Formats: sequence, C-alpha cells, structure tokens
Amino acid sequence: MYAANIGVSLGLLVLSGAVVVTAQQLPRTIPGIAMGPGVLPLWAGLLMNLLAVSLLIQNIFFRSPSPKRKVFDPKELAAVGKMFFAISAYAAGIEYLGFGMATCIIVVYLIRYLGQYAWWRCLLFGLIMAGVSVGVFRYFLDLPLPTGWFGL
Amino acid sequence: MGMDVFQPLLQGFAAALTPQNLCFGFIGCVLGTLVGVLPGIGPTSAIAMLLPLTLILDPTPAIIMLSGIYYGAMYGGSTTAILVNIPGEISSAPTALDGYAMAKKGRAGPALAISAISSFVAGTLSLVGLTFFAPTLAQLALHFGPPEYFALMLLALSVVINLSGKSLIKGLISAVAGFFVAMVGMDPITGIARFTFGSVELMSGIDFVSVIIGLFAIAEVLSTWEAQVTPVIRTKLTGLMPTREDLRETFPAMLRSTVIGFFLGLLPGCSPGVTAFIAYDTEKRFSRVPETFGQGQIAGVAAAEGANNATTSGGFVPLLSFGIPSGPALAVLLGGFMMYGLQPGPTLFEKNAPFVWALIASMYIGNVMLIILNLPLVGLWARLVKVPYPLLAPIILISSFIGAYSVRNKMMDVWLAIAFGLIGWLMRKLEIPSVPLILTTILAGMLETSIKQTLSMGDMGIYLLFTRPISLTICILALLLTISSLYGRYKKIPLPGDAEEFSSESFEFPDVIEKKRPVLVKPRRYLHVPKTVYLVREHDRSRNVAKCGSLRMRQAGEQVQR
Amino acid sequence: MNKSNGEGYPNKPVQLIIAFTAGGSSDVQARIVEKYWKKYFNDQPLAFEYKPGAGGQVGFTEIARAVPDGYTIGGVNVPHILLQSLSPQATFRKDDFVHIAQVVNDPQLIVVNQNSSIRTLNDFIAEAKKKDGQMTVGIVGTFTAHHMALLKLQDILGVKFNAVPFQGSADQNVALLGGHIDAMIGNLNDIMRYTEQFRMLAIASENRHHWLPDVPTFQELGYSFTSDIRRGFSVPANTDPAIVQRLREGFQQICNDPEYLNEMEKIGQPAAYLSGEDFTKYCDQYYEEAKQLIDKYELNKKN
Repeated sequence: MYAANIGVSLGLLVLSGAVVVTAQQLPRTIPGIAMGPGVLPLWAGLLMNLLAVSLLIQNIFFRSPSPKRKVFDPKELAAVGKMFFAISAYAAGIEYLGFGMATCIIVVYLIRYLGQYAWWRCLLFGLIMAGVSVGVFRYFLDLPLPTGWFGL
Repeated sequence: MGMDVFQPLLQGFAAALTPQNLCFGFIGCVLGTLVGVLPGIGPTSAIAMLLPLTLILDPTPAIIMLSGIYYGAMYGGSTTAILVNIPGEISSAPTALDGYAMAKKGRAGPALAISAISSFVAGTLSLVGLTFFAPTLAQLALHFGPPEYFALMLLALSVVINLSGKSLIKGLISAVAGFFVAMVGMDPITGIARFTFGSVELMSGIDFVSVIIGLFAIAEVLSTWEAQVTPVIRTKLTGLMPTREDLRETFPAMLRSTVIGFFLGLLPGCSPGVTAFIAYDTEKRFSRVPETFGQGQIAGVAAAEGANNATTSGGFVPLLSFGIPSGPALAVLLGGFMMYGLQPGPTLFEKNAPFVWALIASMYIGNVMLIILNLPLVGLWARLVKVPYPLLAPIILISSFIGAYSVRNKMMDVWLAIAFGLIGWLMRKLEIPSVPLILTTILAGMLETSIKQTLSMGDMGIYLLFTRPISLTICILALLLTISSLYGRYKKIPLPGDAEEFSSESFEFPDVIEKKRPVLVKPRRYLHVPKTVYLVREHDRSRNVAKCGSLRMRQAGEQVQR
Repeated sequence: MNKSNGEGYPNKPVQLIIAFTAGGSSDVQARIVEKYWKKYFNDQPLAFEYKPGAGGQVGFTEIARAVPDGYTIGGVNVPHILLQSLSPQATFRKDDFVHIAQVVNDPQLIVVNQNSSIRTLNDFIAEAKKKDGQMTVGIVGTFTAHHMALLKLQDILGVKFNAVPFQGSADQNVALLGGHIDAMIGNLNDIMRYTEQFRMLAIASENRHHWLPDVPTFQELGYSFTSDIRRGFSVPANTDPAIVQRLREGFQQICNDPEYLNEMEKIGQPAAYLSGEDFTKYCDQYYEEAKQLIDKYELNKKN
C-alpha cells in the first residue's frame, strides 16, 4: 500500500503541476470582471500539490505499523485489462459497426466469457438484448444511436 | 393565505382526477420510475425526448405527465444504487453508500422499501409546503444573493470531511480532483475554455452523467471481472419489508431530510444531488451511532431518498413563482410551459390558476401512485440481485453506454465514461473514496460562479460574506460543522486495520460469512476493534449489525495472520 | 439528383441542429417553425438534433462543419456566433454560415427593481455617477451580447459600471428581484414575466415595442444605442445557392403566416422577420463594431 500511495502522490504532483502551469496561462482578470478563469484552477492545483506532498510525507515518514498489503495483483491486472479492452472495443464497435451489432457481439462475448453458458444460449440472449435495446432506445425513445457501416 | 387555498386545491383535484389527466399522470410516474432505474438516462433526457408531445396534447395532461417523470425518477434512482451500487441518478449517490451495504447483508428489500416510503413521506410533506406557502417561501429564497450561495457552497463542502473514509488526505484529494473534473470546459461565467486540449466537444465540459456512470457502473463491471465471482449477494434475503423497528428508527430521518430537502430546494441551483448529500451528512451527525453510516445504516438510505424527493417539490416553488428552474430537468420542463405560452412567474397563479392547482393536485396523486407502484416492485427488484452476474453485466454496460451517449448524442461522453471507469477502479484499489469527487463536481460550477459574483459586487472583496447576516450565519455554521467533523475524526484516529470500518466503499462483505466462523484474534493494536463491536451490540438492532462487527474482527485477524 | 436547382428540395427529412438544450428558448421557437415547415417544404419532416454546450459554440461548430447539401440547417443566435468567431478559442468563422432568415429580434432593456429609487434613465445615469463605478449591473456572461451592450453603454452614457456576470437570465432575474444588484441588462423575452416587479427604464431598439408601449427607446431619450439578441436559421457555407434561395423563400412564407405570428406572440418571443440578405448585412455590421469594442477594451488580451 505504501508503494502504491507514493506512486499516487507522485502522479498527483505531476498532474497538479500541469494544472498549475496551465492555469498560469489563463487570464486571471478580465476587464470589468473581478476574477478571471485562471484563478480557481490555480488554487485547486496548488491545493492538490499540497495534498500530494502531505500524502508523500505521510507514506514515507509516518508509516503506521501495519502488515504489508499488495494492492495490485498481476493476475487481477490482466483480468481488468481484458475487461477494459472489451468495454473499449464495444465503444469503438458502436461507432463503426453500429449500436445494434456491437451490442449483440459484446453481449454474446460477455455472457460466454463470464458465465460459460452454451453457445446457443449466449447467441440467443445477445440477439434478444440487442433487439430490445435497439427497439426501445432507437425507435421508441427516438435516440439517434450510431448506425455504423451496415446500418444496424 | 390558508383558507383560500382549499377551494382551488379541491378544484385542482377534480381536474387532476379526470380519466385523461389521471392516465397521463400515471404514464409519467411509470416512465419516471423507469428512467430513474436506468443508470444514466435521467429525467432531463426523458422529458426532453417527450417534449414534442406538447405539440399534440393539451397543456394540463402534458405538464402533469412531464412533471411525473421528474419526481418519479427520484423514486427509481435508488433501485440500482441499492442493488448494484450504481446510482440511477446523481441524487441517489448517497443512497448507494448505505443501501448497497444493506443489500450485501441481504437487506435489499427493506432498503428498497424504506427508500420508497421515505420518498413518499418527504414528497407528500413537502407538497404540503408547496401548496400552502409557495408565494411566501419564494420571497424567502430571494434573500439569497451570490454571497449567500457562496456561503452555502462552503457549508456543502464541509460535508467532504465526513465522506472521506479512512484517510482525510485521500478524501481531500478526491474532492480536489472533483474540481479538476469540473474545470474542464468553459469557465461558467467568462466562457473561456480551460483544459480542453483544443477539443470543441470538451468545451462544453464533462457531464456529471459520464462521471457517475464511469465511477460507479463501469468501475463496478471492471472490478467484478477482477474478482471472477458474482458480486451479487448470495446471502439470503432476510425479509422484504422493513421491520417496525426500521420504520421507527427512520421516521425522524425522513422528517429531517424533508425539511432540509425542501428548504434547500427552494433555492434555485440546489439540485437534489446536493441536498441528498447534506441530508445524509446531517443524519450522520444526529445519529447515536454515526460509525454505522456507510455500513448499511437504514437511516442513511431514508435521509438521502427523503431529501431528494423533498427537493423536487421544493424546486417547483421557484419554478412556478418566478419561472426559475433549479436544475436541467426543470429547465426542460419550463420549456414545456413555454410551448403552451404559460409564462411561469408571479402572474401564473392568477392567470392560470386551474392549471397550476391541477398540477399540484396531480403531484399528490402521483406520489400515491408511485408508492403503490414501487412497494410491490420491491420484491421483484430485490430478486434481481439473484440474476446471475454474467447476464447482469451486459445489461449494466448497455444502459451505461446509452445513458452516457444520450447526454449530447455524442460518443465522446461514452469514452469519457470509460475513462472514469478506469479512474474509479484505480480509486477503489487505492482506497481513495469517490464520493467526495462526485460532490465537488456538482458543487464546483456554482461555487466558482458565486465567488466571481461576490467579488464583483463591490470593492469589499470576499469580506462581503461577513457583512451580510445570512451569509455570515451560514459561514459560521460551516465553520462549526468543519470543526466538529475534524474533532470527530481526531477522537477516532483510524489505524491501518480500520480501512474497512471507515471507508464507505472498500468495505467488502464477502459471502463466506455464512459458512465460516470468524477467527478472533486480539492483538494489542487492534484494541479498538472489539470496542466498536461492543458499541454496536449495545444498540443491538439486528443480527446483521452484530455480524458486521464480528467480521471486522475477522479481517483484522486475517491481516495479522498473514 | 437535384443538384443544380432547388426544384425537388427537400425530398427527404431535413435535420435541424439546435445549439441549446431541448426546451430552451431557441428550441421552443424552432418547434413553432416546425409546425409550419411541412406546409412550405414538400411535406418533409424536420428532425431536431440538440447539440448543446459551451454557450452554443458546440452546436454552431456542428452547423458550420456540416455537409453543405441543404439537408442540415441550424438555428443560430446573433451576436453569439459573431462574438464566438472573434474569440481566441474560435472554432468557426463568421463566413462559415449562409443565413436563411432572421426570425426573432429580442431587444435589450435597462431594468431596475420596482422598489428602486431610480425612475428614469436620467436617474440611472445620475446614480451611476454618484456611485462612481460601484453601481452593480447584472449581465449574462462575458464576451456576450450583454457584455458588449454594457461596454457600449458605458461609452455612450459616459459612466462606469461594476459588471456582475450571471450564468443565465434566470439567476440574473432573481438577483434583481432580491435586490442583490442595482440594475441589469435584460432581454425583452426574459423580463416579460416580471413586468410588475421590474421597472424598465429604456429599450435598446429603434422603435418602442408593442408589449411595453410606455417604455421609451434610447433614441427618444437622446442616446443612439441599440442592442439585441437575434435568432435566425442558417446553412453551412458552400450550400447550393438554389437551395439557399428555396429555403429563404420558404422561411419568408412561414414568417409571414398569420397563425405562426400568433403562436410566436403566445410563446412570448418577439418575432421579427428579416430576409437572409438583410440578416447577413446586419451581422457584418455588428461584427465590425464588436471587433472595435473588443480591441478597445483589450478583451482578448491574455493576463
């Protein structure tokens, strides 16, 4: 946990540093208006800097006597990475394949992968889910969902 | 006032009870509950989608239906918050804190029922306020100028300390991160783009919907893949309806949250999301057992749900009296008024009295419909947690994506939601609470606007806050609350093993609990653990709470054994 | 293909981009247009698409970048599009639009609370001089029509104000109702709800408006000052001139339909038709004026 916390604080230091630098470039006053758009980002960035430093100090110098705990397990990271990839692929699929088709594919894939049901069940469920969501959202609620290459 | 209200109200009921109006009111309530249940799709988009109907319908049924969607959504929003830790609406985020913890203990039924009952009680009581005092209360809200709003935002920010979980630093980091998120896009006053990296789409900012869907729904889907087990509760459902004791215990919470929700709801800009957090925090302060909040305290569910419903009724006061919408959903509803040439404002009550009273009466009826609709659904929803997770995950994913997409009909919001999903997962792993982030994301815009206006209002600068009685009072209150929360934390300096006890989110309740007897180990530095158990047992309200205590010991023990 | 002449146009639904949220004033107005659209455009429907955000800039950009085939039209607001194209973060240029028609002209007014001691424009000027730059005047946003009007007004009246910017007209109105600001610049459409609570000192249009016959124009009081917000419809540049012509004719017919005018009265938006050519002329003129004003006050300067 300490290593992770130190990592977090270093990451936040970089982030908040970037925020402060960007805020410096924004006008801090605008003629006639007391406070420009640069003020709040500057203060928020500085505050985040302070918090990151305190977290760093706490985790380097003030460790409480607690047992070590691993935060990230490689197996778990791989699993989450896979899921993240699947979700991103779904979003990309919506843009290129169209909402209906992408939904069908992701549903089949997820059910198959998570639940290990028989293929025909996965396929059936995927078709039903895609059909119902397209019917409800695109046609009933009139949401302009992306159609992609095949018009689905 | 007083007497002359009854006559028009009765006529209003007569109008609202005609089959046509009743029917459209019912449709509105059902749709509201549905969009409330679906994460992401909120009342705003639902009302906007149905707005073209106003070209066909008469004004009264149309507005009755659209309003029904608005307050109905507050009933539905709690459902997914409780069952799968995904708030259907942003206003249900505090509900998830305790509701999900209750569901994990098999008390999803009572949590759902209490949230419906609390919604009904608060909704109806605040309607009484709306009926009798609308004009007076509207005048009251006018005393709030920019400095008062700024002070109010400071008060709301003081809640962060109580939502911070184990580490105050991490809670504050999360809160400041919320400001970062809110700063992307155009500055609310000057319209100058910040942190947009040259993207036109980012200029309109990051919508709350993407943030909340990412942090809750997508992060949930990500982390359950990781666990490779069903996160859905295997515990038996212990009773669907709340016990008499639950009711007795939550009743004061309902009343308090009604008052908070309604009065804050009178102020334009105080959305149900803000008031729900404030009511939740207040309840924690009133409670004799504040440490049980975040671990399945039923009063927490009642407070959050009561407040968001009371706020919806409160919001109708400025809407009807001045034509000022308190939030995006009411702004769209105002558009509906406009379509009919109904100009909300001081003259609405005079010129269109039958319409206004029919609308108010329909809201009483709507609340009754909603509780009738929602209580029997409790059983159905509660069983939803038994749906195998492989089937539930795609459903969560699809509705999240659609919710994010429907914000602006752009895929960018979906991508943002995915990014926040990853951030949310990381935050969980690193024990950074995500709730402060959500709260400050809601507050940031108004905070910044009100600071700017306060500074522009004179040459006194920020000291203007302390020269106006109302803002001074609120500032002092905010200071006192901050001190008291800090003192509360100081008294109970959390030790590392305490993570599960204080953090509202990382408190996992494994299903093994039924099978395995907890191993009791009492090393010295965990001395506070049995103490807490004792404290819980003292109020021994249910087996679950006691179980919860023993679990804590088990976890503490485990850590030592490793 | 009816590419060279606007004859068959439109032969499929036309998409209308609204740069504000559903239910906003722009949407409500466009919905009224929609009612009459079919009658004058081959019975083809108008499909609404909302692209709100960034004070309209997201939607306006979308219109500017749309395929110029005539099947995407957009609602534009002036001076929003002009000021946004002048800002350092511009995402489109003034000439990216071809205007079809102006449909609404919403003049601005100087408004004070009914309880205020200020009764006339002269009182207002005197008070502003007395307070020496500390008189608070509510405006909506910066770099907006309100802001420009305030700056122009300072020049014309020879006084200085303390501008308090608000996010929208609704919160601006509440602040004036609650007496938190001394005066505000408001639009006719927004203040008509509060005619009993507010006192209108002067209207910045050429003639008095028939909704407020007692409110004098600045012209009458001896100041040459007009300021307003206008709504119109536009297509992206490079759209076939024949289609533009067809659209302009159609809108002219819609905007002179007595039933349409009646409904506009009902929704409380001051209808004022201007042909596409005249609207473009107005835009060009405003653009030049605004440019000078921005340079003078150095609004584009960083830090």
